[in-house]
Amino acid sequence: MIDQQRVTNAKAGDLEAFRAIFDGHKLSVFRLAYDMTGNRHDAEDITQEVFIKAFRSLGQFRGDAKVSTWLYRITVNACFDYRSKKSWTAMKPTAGFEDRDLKPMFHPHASQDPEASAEGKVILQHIEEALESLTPRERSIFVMRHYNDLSLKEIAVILRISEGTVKSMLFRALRRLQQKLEFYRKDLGLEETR
Amino acid sequence: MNHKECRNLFVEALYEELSSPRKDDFEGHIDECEECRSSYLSLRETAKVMERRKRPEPTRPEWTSFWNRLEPILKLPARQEHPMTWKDRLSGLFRFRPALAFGVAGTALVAIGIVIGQLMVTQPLGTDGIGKGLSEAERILLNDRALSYLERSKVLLLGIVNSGAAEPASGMLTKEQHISRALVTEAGALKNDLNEADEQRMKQLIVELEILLLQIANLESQNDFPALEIVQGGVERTGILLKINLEQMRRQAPGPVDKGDTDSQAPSI
Repeated sequence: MIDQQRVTNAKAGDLEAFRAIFDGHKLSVFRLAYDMTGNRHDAEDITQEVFIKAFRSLGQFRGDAKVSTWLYRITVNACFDYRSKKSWTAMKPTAGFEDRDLKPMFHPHASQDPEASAEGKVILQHIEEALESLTPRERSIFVMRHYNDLSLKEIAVILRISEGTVKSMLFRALRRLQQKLEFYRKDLGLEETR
Repeated sequence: MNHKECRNLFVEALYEELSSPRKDDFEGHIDECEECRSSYLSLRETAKVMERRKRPEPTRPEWTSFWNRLEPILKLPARQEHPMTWKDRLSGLFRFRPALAFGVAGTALVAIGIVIGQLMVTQPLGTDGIGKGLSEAERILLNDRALSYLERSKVLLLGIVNSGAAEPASGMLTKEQHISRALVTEAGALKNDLNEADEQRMKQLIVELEILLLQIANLESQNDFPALEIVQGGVERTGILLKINLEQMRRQAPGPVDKGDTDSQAPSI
């Protein structure tokens, strides 16, 4: 409800209210954009574009959905547009971006051993390449569910498709990633989980 | 629960979105069915690998700077900030229609090819060149230049042919080499100006002369007798002096020079 009030105020021209919306959702938008593109600079560009579009189309926001859902929808569409615009130059992960920028998502206590760190970089590269192998739609569904913790139902609302379609596309995405990362099962000791 | 039903629940089970009764059914089947268990665990392992991914996050000052860049854009009127360009319209038209885009691109290429082809056919080389724009006075001047060029070349070649190979006058050849170089330079400019159809024979003659003049200009020393003999032999073999005489007669004759003789070469004697 706080977001709804902010939207109402922003519609009336209150830029501070929009700033509050920006502060509340900037990280989610940036993360999704980064997950979709694999490139920090592209993610920053998309984030800017998303908030400009959101500000311009405040009048069209009726309040039926959550502000976050609305912003996610704008983000996904902006990523698709951005990708098609950049299709000739092929979006790739930013080579050599600084380690200080990388924050572990699920392993905050990762090893500080340099050898392990080098190995980790290779794994990260393979993960990015595996993500690149997905279609834009598959990737959007996978990253929204896997990295941004959106439920299947929320994803269906954002993409305006059925939940069943989301499930089948997510399954397809996982299978594709599985094929791409097959050789890690042994290397990472994941066989033991059986 | 059969295998298919079980597999349909893989995604929901993986992300813990299964409701209690379905979860029990799923786990029951997984415990009993080796094949489904293996497939499910394999999928879960992949998800675990993907959890190793990291991503950058802007710092607080970076976000502040980000907003400082964004704020002035938001204050701009919408139209000024992002006007719809023809590129946007085109990209909007072809988005999700790659076949249409390729079709339009192909048609455009064919059209460009037809236009280029027509231009090439309707403007044959050598008939509508630069010289077309010359006035009558300029044409007369060009004719005089060409005649002067031929005369000087002829005198030079006669001097070379008539000099005794055994006793060339000391210092004479150096002077002839200088003249040859000057004539070669002048030949380049003349060839550029001779673009009319009736000037092609003259142009061809200058090309032949250029070769002999270059040979003279490049004689290594005053005593380079073998090279000198080659030049003398070349003058005789090509009949260049006779060709010069004929061209001079043709150009000095009253009335217009014969047109439509673009393809014929100077008589080879």
